[in-house]
Formats: sequence, C-alpha cells, structure tokens
Amino acid sequence: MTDSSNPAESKRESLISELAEDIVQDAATIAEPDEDRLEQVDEMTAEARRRLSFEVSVLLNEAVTKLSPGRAYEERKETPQRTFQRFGVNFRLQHALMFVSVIILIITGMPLKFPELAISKFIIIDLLGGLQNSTLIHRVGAVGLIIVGVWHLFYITFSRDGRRDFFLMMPRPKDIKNFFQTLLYFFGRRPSPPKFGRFSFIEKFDYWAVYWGMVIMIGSGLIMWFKEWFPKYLFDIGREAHSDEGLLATLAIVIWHFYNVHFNPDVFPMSWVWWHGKLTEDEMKHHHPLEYAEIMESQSARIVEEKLKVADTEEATE
Amino acid sequence: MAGIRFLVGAVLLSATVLAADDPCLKCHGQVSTGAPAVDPAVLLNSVHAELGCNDCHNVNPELRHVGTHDVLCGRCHIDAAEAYGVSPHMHGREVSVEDVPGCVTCHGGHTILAVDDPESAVNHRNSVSVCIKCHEDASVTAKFTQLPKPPMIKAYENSVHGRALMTEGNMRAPACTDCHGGHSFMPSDQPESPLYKTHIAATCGRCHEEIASHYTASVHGSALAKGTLESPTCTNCHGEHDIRAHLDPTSKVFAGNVPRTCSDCHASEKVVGKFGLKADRIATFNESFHGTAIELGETTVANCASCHGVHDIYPQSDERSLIHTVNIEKTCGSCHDDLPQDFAQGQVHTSATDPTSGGEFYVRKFYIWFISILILAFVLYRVLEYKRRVKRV
Repeated sequence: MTDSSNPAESKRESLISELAEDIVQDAATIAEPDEDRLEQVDEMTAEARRRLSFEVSVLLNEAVTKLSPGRAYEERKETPQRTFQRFGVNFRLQHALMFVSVIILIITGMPLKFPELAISKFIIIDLLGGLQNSTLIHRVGAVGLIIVGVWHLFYITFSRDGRRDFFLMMPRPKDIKNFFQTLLYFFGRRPSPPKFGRFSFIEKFDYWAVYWGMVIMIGSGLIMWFKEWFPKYLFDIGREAHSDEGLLATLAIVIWHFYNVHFNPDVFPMSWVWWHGKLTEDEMKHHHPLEYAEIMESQSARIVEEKLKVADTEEATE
Repeated sequence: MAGIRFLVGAVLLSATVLAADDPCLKCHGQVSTGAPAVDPAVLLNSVHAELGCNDCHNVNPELRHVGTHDVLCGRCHIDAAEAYGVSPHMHGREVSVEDVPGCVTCHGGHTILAVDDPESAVNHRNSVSVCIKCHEDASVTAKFTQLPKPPMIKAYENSVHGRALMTEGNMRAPACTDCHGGHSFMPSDQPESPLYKTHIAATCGRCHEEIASHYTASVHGSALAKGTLESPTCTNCHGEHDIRAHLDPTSKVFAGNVPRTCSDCHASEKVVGKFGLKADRIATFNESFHGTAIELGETTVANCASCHGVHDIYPQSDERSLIHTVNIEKTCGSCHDDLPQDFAQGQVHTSATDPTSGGEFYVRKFYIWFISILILAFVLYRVLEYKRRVKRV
C-alpha cells in the first residue's frame, strides 16, 4: 500500500513547495514597499485633511456669524439706518392679544366645522381632552377677542395716536384710484406702483375686514353663548354665520395676512414689526413714500423753525 | 299537560326492574365478557336509576337482542319528542345521524342527570358549552352550509348575556335555549320560531317585561304588529348574539353609536322611500351641534333617543311623544333647564341646504359666494404681484 502511494505523495509535496514559493515572493513585494507610492499616499492624506479642516472651519464660521447675536449687532452697526416708529406699544399689545385669541379660537373652533376629519378628532379628543374642554377654551379666546374689540374702540376714541390713525384709515377716493393703479402696474402698464401714505388701500382693506369679522363673529358667538335669550331661528342663523365667517377669517389670515407678514420673500420667515413696531428708512421710502416725505418735510420745517427761533433769541439778546 | 303526559308514560313502564338489577347486566355489567359494558354505579347515579334497560333500549331480554337498538326517550318524554320531531336537528338526522345531535348527544346516555342538577350537561350553567361543541366547530358548519358561521355564535361569549352567565355566573342570564327554545330550535325565518321577527319582543320580554310593553305600544312595535316587517324589533337596534350593555362603547345603542344605528333605517332609501319618512333626519342631525359633538366623542350630548325616546317612540302627532308640542319643552329641559319656550318650539332638524329652514339657508348661500369671490381675489392678487415681481427682477 505504502509503495504504490509514494509517487502521488511526492507530487503533492512538490505542488505545496511551489505554492509556498509563490506566497513568499508575493510577500516580499509587500515587505519591501515602493517608496514613491508611499510618499504619494502620504501627500493625498495630508491634502484631504487640510481640505476637511478648511471646510469645517468655514462651516463653523458661518454658523457663528449667523447665530451669534453679537455679530448680527455688529453688522447692523456697520450699516446704520434711521428707524421710524410705526406702531406704538398700545397698538402692538392690542395686536398681540388679538392674535393669541384668534389662534385659540381657530384651533378650538375649526374642528367643529369639520368634525369628521381625523385631525379635528385628534385636536378635540386627544389634544384638548374632549369637547367640554375645547368649548371652555373657545370661550376664553372669545373673551380675549371681545376685550380687544372694546379696547380698540377706546383706543380710537381717547388716544391721540388712535384718533389720528382712525382718521387716516377712513376710505378715500384715492384708495380706489390706487387700487386701479396697482392693477395697471401688475399688468405692466405703469413703471412703478402708486405712492402710499401712512396706510395703503390694502392696509385699509385689512383693517376694515377685521371690523366686519369682529362684528359678525362676536355677534353670532354671543347669540350662541346666550341662546336662551333668543329664538331658535336666530340661533341657527348665528351658528351658520359663525361657522362660515370663521372659515373666511381663517382663510383670509392664512392666505392673505400670513403672506404679507410671513411668506412674502421680502420678510420671510417673519416680519418683526409686530414686536418692535419699527420700519427702516428704506422700508418707509419703499412702502409709505408719502408719509416719509411728510415726516421729512415737517422735520426740516421744524429744524428751520428752530434755527429761526435761535436766530430770533440771539437777535433779542443783542 | 306535559307533566300528565310524562306521568302516563312513566307509569306504563313502572312494572320494570331497577336498572342495576337488570338481567342484561349479567353480560353488559362487566368488561370481561366482551359485550359493550355499562357501569352499574353510573346507572344508579343517573336520573333514570329506576328504569330498566328495556325501558330505553327497545330489546326483549327474553328473546335476547331482538328489536332495534334505538333509544326511545319519546316513550315518556312525549312533548320533548314532539318538539324535537319538527326541529332542524331532526331534519338533519335524516341526512347524517352521526353529525346531528339526538337526545343523548346533549342530555347524556347512561350518565343522564336531571336538568336542574348542576352537574347535568343541559343544566342552565352548562348548556351553552353543549351547543357550541358543534356550532363553533368549523368542520360541522362547513358540512352543513345553512348553519351560521362560528364567529356569529362566538359573539355570544362577549355579549352582556354571555358574560353574565359564563363569567359572572348569573343563573338568570339567558343561555342559547332561552331565546331559541329547547328541543324545537326553530330557525328564525320560520313563523313558529320564538325568534321570528314578530315574536322577538315577546321572547325578550320574558325577562325584559316592562321594556317589551313600552316597545309593543311604540310606533315601531305597533307597525310590526300590523305586519310591517321592516319595522325594527329588539334585535335590530341591540344586536343578536353580540348584544352589549348600553354603556359599553362597542354597543349599537351606546350614546355615541345611536345615530348610526337609527340611520340603518332612517337614512336608508329603501325604508325612507317606502314609508314616506323624512329622508334628511340623520343628515340634519349630523349637521346640528348635537351631531357635531357626538362625532367629536362627546356622549353627554343629545342623540336620537334623548329627544324621541328609547323604547317608547311615538309619532310627533301622538301626545305621548316626547317631541309633541306639549312635551317638547320638558324634553329640551331635561338637559337645558334654562331654555325658554320660544326656543324649544323652534324648528329642529334644520339644514343650511334646505330653503324651508329659513335664515340659515340664505346665510350659507351668501357666504358661499362671498368666500369664493374673496379667496379668488386674494389668490389672483398674489399671483399678479408675484408675476410682476419676477418681471422686475
């Protein structure tokens, strides 16, 4: 048996030794690497590291510049602009109470117009814990809105700013003219939009739309709240009007007002006028050129007057 | 009557010997003989302890096994046998004896106990398990396709009746036989069945007496009595095997589900059209604040039954009706105690899409135009503004 297996055994051994030689040869090239190639690899890694650190530092720099309030302040200081106080504290507080109330009213009210939608059920049942809670919250919002309404009536009666703005808000023939001029401008028949004073026709429309909305919503809401004082058909009318006007108000706020103050590319993501009440000189020139001119005129007139006064007193003392 | 007939049957057999002393047991009383064996102790324990083998097995002990081997319960239990004779089980046995229950299948053979014995298979406590042995067996329902499928039967276990009987051990709760009848088990489409539509109220009324009398007098009950089979009876609103307590949110008569249950008929064109009912009752309810509130999960608010009554529903023209002019104020007042008469007498089930509803119809009409035009104008204005802005850039 052993004799006959010998030739096969030796053939195997020779094969193994051949393979081993091959392996040793391959290993030799690895053990003695090509110096040039190694250098190349080193250079490449160094380059990659440099670029990476550069990109990271640029990113960090940008982030710091954008997020740091100090930097933003510095930038603003670099390009100083005169600001104009458009809305006083009183008016801004009215607006704040109004939008808080309206947001509450929309969230607790809209689901009742579309009760079959899953989101309505989620808001009323899961978020607010049932209709009894949501109707209570709705009444809290309603009280807020009523307070704003009454507050504003006092404001336009007893406050000097309020009285002035209310008279400036009155619709005039000029507004109709401005409207058609704007259309002409949109259709390219005018090189520039019409020049507005303190309130453009759009702002007047917004203001009076809120008047209309407040009267309908508060009126119909009170009819439903105190239904025992009214006949059933008035309740039905009130409910329908409340529901439809509520939808209109929500759509107007989302499509019209949110475009003005949020989605408009000039102010995106939000105009901060509701917070600080200020307009820059550029904004004044651009959106309210007539008011700007008026202010400038009265200011220069005042300066002239003051100078004259100084001259007069100087003369008198002499 | 049944008692007398039973007595007569029993007396005829009285001359026989006690089962345990029966000569048959010489062979059948012990396993070693190879004959089918019966334990004499079991016989003595059974309700039939005083009967001899021959009383049930129609064989002549003198002549040994001559005669049929059938068990002849009907010789004493004449009424039961008669009822069973017309039952679907009897008809089924003509097709397949092995699959369809005879007396012994439910009551037991030599082990048979009195029905009021708690150990008896057909005692109230145990009888459900006897029925479901076949009726919840898919292989049985597959063979007899006219049978209801097991899930329908199984629903009983979660029903208010099933839970009361099987979980809480309330012996007054109904088992299968209480509604379906014992022995005869008529299918509900047979006019003799206790579950035929016109008999259901009486069947349920055996326990729910007062409710059944309210229902029978109501518009639904009287219509059904006149032969209007579309008119609902107990099961149409409450369900059948799956009947639930009205406070269970899965119940068909749970406050939040009542409008949907009523809508089965009152929003069905087939029913509404045939009987000239007002077709918009469910839709107008859903449109109302009550309907909106129910849709949003509020159950304290009025549903159909709150104003129209539950079992005692009458037409509005009937003075007993909760919504009759003389009662409407009190009905509204059960929730709204501050509501003046003016309000209560106002039109209910109004709709903003119905001109006869008055003001709200015109308000809706106005707003449809008003909102459409305004929103269109807003969007148009923005589009024009945007196009101009792009042009300028």
